[in-house]
Amino acid sequence: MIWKSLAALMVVLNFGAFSSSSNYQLKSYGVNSGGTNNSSSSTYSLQAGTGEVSGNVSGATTYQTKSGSIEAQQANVPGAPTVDNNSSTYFNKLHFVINTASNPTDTTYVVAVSTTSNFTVTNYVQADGTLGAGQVFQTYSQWGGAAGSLAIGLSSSTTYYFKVAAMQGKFTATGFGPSASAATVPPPSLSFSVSPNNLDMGSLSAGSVVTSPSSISFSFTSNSAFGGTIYVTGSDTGLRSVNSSYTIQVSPPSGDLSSLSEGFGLQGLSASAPLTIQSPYDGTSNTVGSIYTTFQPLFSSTSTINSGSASATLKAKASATTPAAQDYTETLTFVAAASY
Amino acid sequence: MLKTKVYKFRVVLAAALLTATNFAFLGSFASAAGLTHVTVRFDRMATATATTGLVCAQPATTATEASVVVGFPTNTVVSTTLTNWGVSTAVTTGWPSGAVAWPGIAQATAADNTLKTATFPSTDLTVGTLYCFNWTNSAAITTRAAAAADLTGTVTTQDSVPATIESGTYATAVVGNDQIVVNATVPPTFNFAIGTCSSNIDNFTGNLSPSAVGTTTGCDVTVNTNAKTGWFAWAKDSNTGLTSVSASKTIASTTPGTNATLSSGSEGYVLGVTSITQGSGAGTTSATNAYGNGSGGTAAAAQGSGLDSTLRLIASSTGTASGAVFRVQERASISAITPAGTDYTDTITLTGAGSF
Repeated sequence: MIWKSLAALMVVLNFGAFSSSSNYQLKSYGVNSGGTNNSSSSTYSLQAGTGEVSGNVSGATTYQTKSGSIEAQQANVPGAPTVDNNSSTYFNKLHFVINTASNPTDTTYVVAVSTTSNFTVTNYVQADGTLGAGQVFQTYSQWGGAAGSLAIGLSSSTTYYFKVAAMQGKFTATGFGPSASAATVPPPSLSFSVSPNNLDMGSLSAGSVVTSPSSISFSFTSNSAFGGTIYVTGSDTGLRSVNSSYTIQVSPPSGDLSSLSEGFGLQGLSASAPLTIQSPYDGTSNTVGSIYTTFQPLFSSTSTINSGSASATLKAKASATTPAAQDYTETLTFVAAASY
Repeated sequence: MLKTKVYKFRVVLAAALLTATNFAFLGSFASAAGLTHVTVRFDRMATATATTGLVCAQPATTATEASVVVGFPTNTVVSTTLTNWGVSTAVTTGWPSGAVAWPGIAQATAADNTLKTATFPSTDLTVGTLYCFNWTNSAAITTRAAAAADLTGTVTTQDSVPATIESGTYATAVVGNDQIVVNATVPPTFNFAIGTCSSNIDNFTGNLSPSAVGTTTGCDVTVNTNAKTGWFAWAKDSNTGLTSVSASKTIASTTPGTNATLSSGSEGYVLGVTSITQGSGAGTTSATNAYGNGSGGTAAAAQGSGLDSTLRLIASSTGTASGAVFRVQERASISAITPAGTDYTDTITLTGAGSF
């Protein structure tokens, strides 16, 4: 197979020297401007037909071709690649799939990338996905085949244009085909706050439901496409007195302090859309959710949260037999996380 | 000429093979897709705070995972002590809905504070399944010293090479304070009430007789308190016995503080705690040995102990009480020569206190 290819190569490389032999006959050939019509080195081969190379271009939105006999030996010009941002989730990379234009599998491709449609400044996708000044030719398979590849290290919120050229064997690469574009999205963002950081419930008189003197305010913003959650956890399961070795709490998951003799819990008051108050903190009146020592969702959303806000309150009730103490305390930790 | 061409071809072929080998390694990166979902929750978001956390990811690419690399935001302090990077999938509370335990997850095999990464082993993941695990030692991570929003990190799955299969980026924030300290006071309460004996007068049910030990109807004392370690009740009397002014006679108390059982025909006077109940609350009530039955129980008929002008502990509880009730009854016995009188009397003072 190698020797056959080599023989064929020899025919091509030497066609300017013979018009016929016992094995072949060239019907039409020409040296044109004279001199050597082929040259090569270890890294390239060139077949020249001076006067035949034309700069004429014809094309449409999906293909591009040039006239001239050299072009006839080149690979097909690749069509516009497919470029996407993975459903608006990529902020520093883009996904692309090469359009092979039916080139054979040993064809290699170079992917040009620019932030301008006219490719004023052009970089090329490197083998590791980064962009660089040097052209990197890889086969369709090496560019990920139908699954495509990622161009990485891109700027957020930027439109990138992609176009592809092909090369087969040692011949000159094609011109670049038509371009396609996609935009990176803004980078993942998350901001969160909770206030106040201290709440004094005051004196808990037996039988009376005491509401925290101020509500707890939350702000939560994230551009996560899949939303996020504010979680709560306690250092104990309620108001704990070390001195009396006693905890004022509500048995999980929730309880109504109007009917319970004692208890302590959290109740969501409000949540701006798309945030919603999560069970068991979605009670009303004096129904509160229990405090857990593991994280529990308090407010949650399944979509992007723009300037989200929420509030919650604490309620406590002591009974006649709740041990007296001045050191009842609970430390609530609130954290936020989003799904990107 | 022919040899020259053959040599060239072999060089080109060898170069092509070498290039293909390189691309086989790099190609896996170039073809990496993105994880469908990535969530990293820091269990503390306050500045300069050690924290545990949660990592969740949902693969989108079919491949054989061998590890997962979690990248943390800039300026996070990543412990390079691998034993600090223990993990667990036991507690799933707070995990996203539908999440399952990350298969093959175990203590990190690498942690780099320069790269801000920790690498954990993994076994093959199924596309479309959301996997989670917790890192359980707060010594693994310390949040940055300065508060900031929009801090990004990555979660990257790798094969056994290891080469990237796919990755996803998350954002988090470090805040000045992520906690609320809640304080409250439960004020002390104590209530001690003598009842059931009208006007606090507790007469003997009949005339005293040498043939029987007499007893009063009794007065109930109710105690309510939130004293954490209980309450105490004491008693003393004004006469150290039943005194008749007209007869100038005192039927003397038995030895105060010593349990006694009166006998008919012999003079004696005692107070006994004849019943006691806790009601609600955390305490355990009891009569003292002297004023009960001598062994922690309530006094039987004719049983108790004398009183004098010193407050004597008669009953107690070990904890809070709501509606704890004890009954005190006086018992007296006389002899055949005990002077007659209709004015035998004694005034008993009862007092109580909580142990807060």
